[in-house]
Parts: sequence; structure tokens; C-alpha cells
Amino acid sequence: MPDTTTVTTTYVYAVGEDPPPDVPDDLTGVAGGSVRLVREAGLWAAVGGVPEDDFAEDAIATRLEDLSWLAATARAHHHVVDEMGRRAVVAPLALATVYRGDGRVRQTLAERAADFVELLGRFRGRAEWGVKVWAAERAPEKPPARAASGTEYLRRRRSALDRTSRDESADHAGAEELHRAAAGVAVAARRHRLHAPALTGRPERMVLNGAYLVEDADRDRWRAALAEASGDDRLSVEITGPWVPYSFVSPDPPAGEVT
Amino acid sequence: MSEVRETDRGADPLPALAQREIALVDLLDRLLAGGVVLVGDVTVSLAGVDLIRISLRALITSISPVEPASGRVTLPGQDEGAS
Repeated sequence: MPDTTTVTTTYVYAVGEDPPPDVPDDLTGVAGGSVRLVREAGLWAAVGGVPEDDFAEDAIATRLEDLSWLAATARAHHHVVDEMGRRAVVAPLALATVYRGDGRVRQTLAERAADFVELLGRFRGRAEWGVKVWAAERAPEKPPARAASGTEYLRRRRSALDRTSRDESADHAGAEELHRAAAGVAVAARRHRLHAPALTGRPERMVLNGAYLVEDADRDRWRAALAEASGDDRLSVEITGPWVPYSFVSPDPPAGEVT
Repeated sequence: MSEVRETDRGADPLPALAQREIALVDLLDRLLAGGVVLVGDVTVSLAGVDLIRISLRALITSISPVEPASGRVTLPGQDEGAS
């Protein structure tokens, strides 16, 4: 669907440097729109047309609060970024970056060319990896029924609380050790928020949600460092990636810094 | 690019990885907090789309909501540090 005659809303997924890669013919993005390239100033942007109604100023704020719309948009956005990321070094754009027509995209590429070149240089030969660490669920506390006395009840209760607190600090220490190990071999490290089981769908407690920018050449060494740090049986480690470095578009704090 | 891989501690600390669909929460961690922010023609405040609010929504719409901790006997002065 060429849209050369009318000004439409142009959604930008990712930016890279020339020469541009081929865009797969069947690649579709947000709202099922096809993906094309807009080129300017030695850069290309992967873009697609989106329905103006969904992305108008007042509509989009409401839309983004609709979980099913947000989920579909996030997956479509990621799909395009990821596919382009397999073919070239790319800088991923924030979700729902839209312009009134391709001309405005060209203008922005020209204005921000130096920033993009710097960022793309930082991403070359590197990928983001995620590490989530989960602490196993504890055996449920024994019900404090039939305590012989109030004193006995208090003693049991206190000891249960002590045990919980000891376990939690051990989990925390284990997670910190894994983070340090992962950050130690990474170019940069970031920590995302820890999420509740309602959001993760796992009953275990999340104790680390880290992102690490790792040199492709160091991939095995990075995994080995994590494996070596995985000492505690109560913790399980989940690695995701490679990701286009979404978490590292802003200037990085030194790797290993505990944030 | 994003093969998502899962691992559990076993005999091999980081065994062979099984592929599965990317978790929405992993995506949102990255897409809501990451990516290059350009001033587009429509300015969207993604800060308003908070994962906490999404998680609340997920809780509310969850088919099997988490049981609230009920029936717990609490004595005065014994609830500090319990949460």
C-alpha cells in the first residue's frame, strides 16, 4: 500500500547506518503495516504506516493503557526491531515514535545523525542479554496452632521470622553475586525493576532482573562467569537474549556498578 | 535475534537452553524503559504507562487471583518485619 500521495502517520522502529539491509518482503509491524526504509544523512530508518486514529495525540495515551493493545503493539514493534537487528547494527526507537509523514523522519535523521552514529558505534559487535534470578518458594510456615502457651507461641513466631529473614538475605546475596559476575564481563549493566508473581506468572520471588551489554566475542566467557557464580541451589537463573540493546541507549554507568 | 532461553540449576549450572515465546514483561521492561527517545510529532508520555499499573490490571483480570493471606494470627507487636 504505497502512501505517496497523502500525508500519513509514519511509525519509526529502528535506525541504522548505510548500507541498509534488505527488508524482508513479508515483514509486517504495528497494525499489520508493511515495513520500508527511509534514508537520509547516511542513515536509514525502518518505518511503517499506522492508522492515524490510533496514533493521534489524544488517542494514543488511552490506547497505551489498554493492556491488550499495548501487548500487541510491543510485540509488533519488537518483531520489526529484532528482524532488522539480525541483519544490521540498529538503534531501537522508543515504543510509539510517530511522525507526520516520511519527510519529518528524514528531517529528524539529519538533525540527530551524530547521536545515532555514536550510539550505533557503541552497539557494533555487542548484544544485550537479560538475566533473571528467582528464589525458590519456601516451605509454608507451620501454623502456630496449639502452642502450649503465649510464650511458646511468641518463640515459634520469632524463630520463623528469623528464618525467613535469613533466607531472604541469602537470596539477596546470591543475586548480587550473580549480578557482579555478569556485569564483570559486560561492557555495561542495567537493572530493571523486580516484578511480582502476578506479572511474571511464576510463583517464585524475582530477586534479580538485570540487562548486560556483552561483546559478541565474550559471549561464552560471560556465560561461564554466570555459571561459575551460580552456587546457590535455591536460586534459578533465566537468561534471555540476544536482544537488540534496548536497555543501553542512554549513556552507560560503568559496568559492575550496582545501581 | 531474540531466542529466549531458559535455564534451571541442575547438575549443569547452565544447561542447554529451551526456546520459548518472549515474556511480555521482558519486552515491556525494555520497550517502556529503553529505546531511543526522539521528539516525534505526537508526544507520548510513556512514563504514564507504568508497569505497576499494568501488573495491577493483570492481577485484577487474572483468572485465578492470588489468595490473600488470611487467617493469620497476629499478636500485638509481632507483625513488624513480617512483610
